[in-house]
Amino acid sequence: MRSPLLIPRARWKAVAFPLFLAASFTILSGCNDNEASQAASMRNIKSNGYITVTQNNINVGTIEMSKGTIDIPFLFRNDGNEPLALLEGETSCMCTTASIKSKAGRSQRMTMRGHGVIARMYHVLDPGEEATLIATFDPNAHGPSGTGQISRDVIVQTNSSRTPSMQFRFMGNVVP
Amino acid sequence: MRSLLFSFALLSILALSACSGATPSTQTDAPENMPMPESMSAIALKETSHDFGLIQQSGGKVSYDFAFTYSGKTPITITGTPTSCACTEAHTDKKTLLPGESGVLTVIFNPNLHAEPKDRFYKTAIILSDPPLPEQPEVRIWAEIDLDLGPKAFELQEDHSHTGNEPKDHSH
Repeated sequence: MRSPLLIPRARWKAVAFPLFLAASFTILSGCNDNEASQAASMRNIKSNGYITVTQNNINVGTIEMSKGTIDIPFLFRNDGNEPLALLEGETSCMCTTASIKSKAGRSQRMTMRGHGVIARMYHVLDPGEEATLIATFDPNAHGPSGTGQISRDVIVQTNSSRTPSMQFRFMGNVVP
Repeated sequence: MRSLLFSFALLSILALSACSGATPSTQTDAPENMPMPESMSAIALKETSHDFGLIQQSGGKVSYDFAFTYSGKTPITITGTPTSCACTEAHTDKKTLLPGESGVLTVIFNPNLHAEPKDRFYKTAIILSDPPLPEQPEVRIWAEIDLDLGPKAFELQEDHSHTGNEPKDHSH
């Protein structure tokens, strides 16, 4: 039964144990500290991972200027079978900023291009991993006349071949 | 050789299990794709995007008419046409649509309201209705602005800190 290709039990242990230690070290450091470098290396590689937003096109209803900024959270998940990198993001309006929160931490704040630096991200979502995009809307950004219906988009670029550009949208009605 | 392969296999399993601790096992068989059938988008737009090209900041507002046909079986009311930015406004020529009726969604862009991205960018306009449509009709307008007047001419100046409602900083 014993294959000549298998090494003796004693030597097997001698080989396996250091390998196990090395692997554990690699895994631990890879999962926690090196997500940024992982994301950077994935930038130009297309992934089979893809994003599903639990609830998009969120209607927040009435937004009162007197109450100041509001936060709108979007839960999303990598529903593909490969890790997926979030690359950068922007918003459609100077009144809206956004950031992403995942187990890797919180991203730089996304703004409208032309109103700050383009937010670079260092987030990798493993298959099945969830993250939250929090959009912050300032109903006073356009002055007192900025009332009425609004719809705002946050656009996040990813390395996914199926969802290369994800649009998160909320709508509402701004009143004084 | 085989033992080496075996070690690698073991390592791969370790690596996967270590990195995917949060993987919910229930969602691995998500449907491949679920596109909305074309017949269900009850407002059919002839075009869904328009490129204004390079426009001058001093040139005033530009507008474009997007033609559409309503193919639903019962009348609907258009409750609004919000846009993704204060620099963009939109309206339809009709408030109620009967089955088979055509209409126009006019989208107007102001290149001098505030700073826009330096290169090409787009803004969106959507049609909201009662009852709501299964798929939200959306158009995109693209533009690039020649800042011939400069940032000081913007109708809305960048500094609006007097509102006292700066976005909350979540980084702490």
